Amino acid sequence: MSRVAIIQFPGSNCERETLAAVLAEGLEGEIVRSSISVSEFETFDAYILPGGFSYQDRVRAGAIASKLSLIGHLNAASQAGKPILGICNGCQILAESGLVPHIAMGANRDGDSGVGFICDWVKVRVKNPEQNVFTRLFSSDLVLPIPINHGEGQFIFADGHSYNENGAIFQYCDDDGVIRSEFPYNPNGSAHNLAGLGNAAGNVFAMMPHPERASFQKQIPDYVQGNAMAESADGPFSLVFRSLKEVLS
Amino acid sequence: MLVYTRLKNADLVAISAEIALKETLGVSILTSLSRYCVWDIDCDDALEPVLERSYYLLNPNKEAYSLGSIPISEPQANRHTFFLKVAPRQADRYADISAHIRTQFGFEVRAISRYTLWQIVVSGSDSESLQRQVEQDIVLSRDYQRGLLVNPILDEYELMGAEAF
Repeated sequence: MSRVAIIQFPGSNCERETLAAVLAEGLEGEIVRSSISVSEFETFDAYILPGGFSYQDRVRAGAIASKLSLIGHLNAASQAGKPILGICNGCQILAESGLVPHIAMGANRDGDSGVGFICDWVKVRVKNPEQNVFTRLFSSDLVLPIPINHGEGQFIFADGHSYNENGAIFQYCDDDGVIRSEFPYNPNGSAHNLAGLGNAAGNVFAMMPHPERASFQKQIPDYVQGNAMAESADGPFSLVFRSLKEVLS
Repeated sequence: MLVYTRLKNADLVAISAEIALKETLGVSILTSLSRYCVWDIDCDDALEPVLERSYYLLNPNKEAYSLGSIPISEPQANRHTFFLKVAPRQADRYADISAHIRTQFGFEVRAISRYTLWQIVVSGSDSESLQRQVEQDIVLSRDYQRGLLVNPILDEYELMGAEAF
């Protein structure tokens, strides 16, 4: 059976929910420390960097974690085509390390003003889902509820760069699926309303919302409208982990 | 007016950055790293009452401040001090702080900005080559192998020698 490593940094706090979402799809998962040896690291088939506040967000969110020797191992795994998912702080670590290149995660903003830390449910749509191992089972027709929980979630591109229009992305939208750039539909001022994006090869995905917190219907509060999968026991973002399982099988 | 604030006790951010640079990234020239938060405030009135009687700009229980300048130690042989100014490209205007100061202390603040000032002490003899090395190995974070203090996508920076102060 394929094995998924959920990598716990000092300050991670979403590793157990992420493991539960992985196990629910029938994958074998294990929480491992960020100090894992390279020989043990290489025994896994996929890697997830969970949410939290690695190193207490010192210097910048994800900055210190992005300098660990583990990131070199992840870079080699990425080059070898192994799937890597970064969620929230994991997304910030992937951005800081350059594994998803030419992006940085800025502070949440509404126009010229900072809006601080946001903990809320938002709606997203996926575009080109077939282009990434973590999104391949999604339908681009669906408007999907998912929670966010961050202070620095604004995707900012380096000068002269933008996202790959043919690649898989999640975009913040309103309840009807319209991509609206204004707050609060775009809760952090992200370029192109981006909530998540992958690398060119399609094996790495970085997303700020928390799929592990929308993987079971019981996690979704009644007040969240437009739950496209309300008839199922599975939450809409179980598809992230099911997509991974399909690739690893 | 420049207000330099600094934690009275251990600055865990600076300590973590120093450890990451020395032990994870192997920057052997780094001797010490410390950090100030600097408020640049444009106003005509004295700021001491705001600094000492409100918590708008600093927490006086935890942070010390100095106005206009910071103490710089005497030069030592084979040691060079650099200062790195790091400001976010998306600067905040701190309109809420200006409004609080106007309401509570009765004077106008024309503009407020804030940046981080890192004091970087390195060992070596040639100041020019050290400055290049500091910029490459300590300052600019371009990937997972080098640099930490500045993300060039998010931040603007200025690296200066101690003589600038």
